[in-house]
Amino acid sequence: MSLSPELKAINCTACGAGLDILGGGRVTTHICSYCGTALDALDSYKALVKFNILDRPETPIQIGASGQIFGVAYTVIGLLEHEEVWRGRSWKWVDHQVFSPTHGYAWVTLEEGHLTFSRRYRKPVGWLSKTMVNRADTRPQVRAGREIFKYYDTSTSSVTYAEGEFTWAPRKGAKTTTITAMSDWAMLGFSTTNREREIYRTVYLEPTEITGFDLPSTFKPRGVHALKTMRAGAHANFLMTAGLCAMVLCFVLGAVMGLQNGTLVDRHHQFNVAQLPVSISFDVPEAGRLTRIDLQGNGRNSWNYLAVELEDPEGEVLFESGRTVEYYTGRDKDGSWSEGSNRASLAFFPPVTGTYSVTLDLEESGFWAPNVNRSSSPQHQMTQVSLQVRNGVSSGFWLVLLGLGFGCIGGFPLLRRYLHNKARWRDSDWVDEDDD
Amino acid sequence: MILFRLIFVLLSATAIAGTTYVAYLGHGGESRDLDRSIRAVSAGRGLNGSIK
Repeated sequence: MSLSPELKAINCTACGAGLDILGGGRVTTHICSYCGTALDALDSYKALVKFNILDRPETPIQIGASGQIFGVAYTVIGLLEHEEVWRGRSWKWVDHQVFSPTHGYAWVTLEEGHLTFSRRYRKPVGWLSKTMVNRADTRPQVRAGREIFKYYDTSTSSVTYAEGEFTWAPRKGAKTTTITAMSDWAMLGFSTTNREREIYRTVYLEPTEITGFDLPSTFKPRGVHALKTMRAGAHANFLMTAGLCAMVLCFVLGAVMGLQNGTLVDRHHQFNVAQLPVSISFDVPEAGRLTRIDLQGNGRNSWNYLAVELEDPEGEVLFESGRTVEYYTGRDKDGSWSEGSNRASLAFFPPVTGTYSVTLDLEESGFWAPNVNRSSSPQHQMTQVSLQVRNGVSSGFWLVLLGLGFGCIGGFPLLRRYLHNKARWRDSDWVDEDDD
Repeated sequence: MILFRLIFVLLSATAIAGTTYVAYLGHGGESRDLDRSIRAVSAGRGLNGSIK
């Protein structure tokens, strides 16, 4: 111990102001809160240098405030403001040196309303230097215990304000280069000054993890801090699992239903185009089940509009409609191509069982390129048309739609996690070569 | 907490079962242009003239 444990207060040797002694025996420097003089705690509080303390940073945590961090009692013994300037922009944050008689010294940092807690990391871990980062082809990482820390950023900051007790001698303007690497929960800071290098481990402080310190209840952090873990809802994992499982089930059922083509209610009819118009009667065994009229032509590079009229068992016209069957094919510099289809269909719900009658006629037709010599062109008009009717056809449409709805429910927690993670790494200065 | 999950599972199962029945009947697969007797496409160049 460099200080007498009985010493609770001193008078500043420069201005005479009374100063409380809050720190432990490792305090080496005490900067007077009234005149800014740095006093040497190891040498009878002899005045060393003077700091400008007029620009005191705004912070809700004041020297002398006490509270608990992760259940351990700490007292704030010093304030430090850092500034980083890069490409004309500057960032400032306030470090609070805290002391616990049982757990020693640590830092509480306030940045953009977020609080973090840093302690010296003394377990075996590799070192990350600026040179190592500059030479790396892939994002550098270090392993500390079971945690893997991936490179986050490199920053060089300087002290712009100091007040209170410290275990080292702050020097205004002294630059510190820090390489940070982040895991899912914590950050390791590899700091280098002209004199020494050290590693700090930083974790985020949720409001429940820090109490006291006269923190105002309206304390609101801004944005997403890199160390802030996402606060997922109590049902997030359940909704994700259940939603995605339900989505898969809906898609499978939708595919199965989409393949249910019902039963052929009449034989397959084929006509020569010259025979049109034709009327065909067919029996519908199940009312209220989807019934489909399938048409197929055999034209090539031509279009044919087939008019379809359906009468119900009472002889009333149920609908008049039609379908174009058109098929185009050819060859160009990219190879063979085809477009359109010689198949078309109409589907309807028969209101009653009974014998329905469908009338089919070729209303209009034409060639794709009418001025081309047909003998040298592969185009020809439809000569044959076939028709079949199927009753009891199923459809996967609504199941696919429901599946998409479940996908949204299951995907929402995943999307939130992705966006949160993206926001955490937003300020990283690592750029993959592929992203250049 | 369990109640919410139970309700979610029950509602989901009901929705899937109901939609499967509706899908079995064929709803969603009916042609939309029949009631109004509007032709599906204009005759010829029905692919919006986008043929190669």
